[in-house]
Amino acid sequence: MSLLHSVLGAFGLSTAGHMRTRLEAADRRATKLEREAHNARQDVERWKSKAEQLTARLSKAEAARASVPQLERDLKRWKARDEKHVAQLAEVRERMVRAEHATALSQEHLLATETKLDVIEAALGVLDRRTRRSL
Amino acid sequence: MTPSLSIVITGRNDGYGGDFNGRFLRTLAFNHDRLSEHGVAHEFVLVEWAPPADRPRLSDLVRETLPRVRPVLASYHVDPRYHEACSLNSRLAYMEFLAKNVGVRRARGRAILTTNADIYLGSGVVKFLTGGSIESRTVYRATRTDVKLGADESHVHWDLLEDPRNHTTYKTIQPPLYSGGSGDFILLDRDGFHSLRGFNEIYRLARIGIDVNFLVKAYSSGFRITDIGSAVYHTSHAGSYRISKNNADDGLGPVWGNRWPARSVVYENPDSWGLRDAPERSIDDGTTWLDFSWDAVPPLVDLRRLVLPPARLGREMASDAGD
Repeated sequence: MSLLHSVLGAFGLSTAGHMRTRLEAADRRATKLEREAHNARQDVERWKSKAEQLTARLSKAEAARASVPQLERDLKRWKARDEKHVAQLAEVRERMVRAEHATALSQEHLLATETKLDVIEAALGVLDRRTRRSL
Repeated sequence: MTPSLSIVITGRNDGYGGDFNGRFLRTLAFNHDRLSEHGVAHEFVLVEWAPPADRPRLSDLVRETLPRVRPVLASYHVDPRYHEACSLNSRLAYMEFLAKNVGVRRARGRAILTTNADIYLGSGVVKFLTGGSIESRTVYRATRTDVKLGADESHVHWDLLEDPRNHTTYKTIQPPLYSGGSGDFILLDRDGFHSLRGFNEIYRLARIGIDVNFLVKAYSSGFRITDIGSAVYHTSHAGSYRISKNNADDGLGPVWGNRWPARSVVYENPDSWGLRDAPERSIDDGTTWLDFSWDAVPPLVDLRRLVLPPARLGREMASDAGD
């Protein structure tokens, strides 16, 4: 076979089988190249998409950076308001504690007054009995 | 010689609660014997409040039946007219705490225990008294345990009293006031008792609540109140508060008087508390009769002396629901 190949090769020819083999190899390479080309296209699309996303994010970030001073001003304002509310809350709480204390004290005074009234009533009863007895 | 301990008890020969005299004499003998055995120098200050004229005095019964107690017995008989003159409640048959004040005022001991005439001191209590560790401005409290001892109470001993099988009710006492059966055990130094001027003499409508009212006054005056961690024992009988409070329609028998805000209102007794100005007449060795005198009788109404606790001190008293 190798002699035949050599003779045909001397005339620039080749066997049909050899040619088929080479064609098949060429087909495989072509298929592989097509696949790689397809993958490469997909990569390009992906990178392109990422680039667009990054561009969008960059735009947003720039927009956000532009709004930072305003946000800082807003934050300061809210913080001030919050501090004011906290102070008001503490004051209300203190007032409530004072009110509770005053209520408790009032109740105690009321109890003391009722007790004193009981004593007065009882004393009047005693005096009444003594008066009636002496008459 | 000044006794280290005065035990103030009150009563009269009127059969209160059925066989009062028997209960009184048994507990008196028991407590005297236990204290003597443990070397506690003591006196009993017995105040007979408005004793019936037609019956022997308790002090005479003590002399007859318990001669060994006689040397340590100081007895005061209070003229019955004081009851009539002092009472603001005609249903109140006995003014227990005015009687106790008469005893506290005249007690000589460095420490004074006010208790009732049918209370047995537990072994832990006697052990505590033996130690003599009474701190000033401290009110000592003990739990009261009701016991059922059977028909024969003539041979009572600590094993019998402290056997849980004989206990009928047991009430724990809790801070800050450690109230609950306070009339059965209030112990503090004599100076402390005098600085508080005894029990409330202004609100004379009730017998109930006067003991816890004393604890409120002591506590709000900065006194420490503590549980000595041991019990005293009481034999249940008809008419005792724990029994009568469950029988009467309003939760109280008439002899206990009105319910009142004893945890909210306190008192400032006058200097003459404990019938200081009552003329005293010695009947015999160890017995004194307090003659009646209007000079000794507190006014019917003295409203300035009913006050809110002197200092709240940020302390919560309502939470303790002892009595």
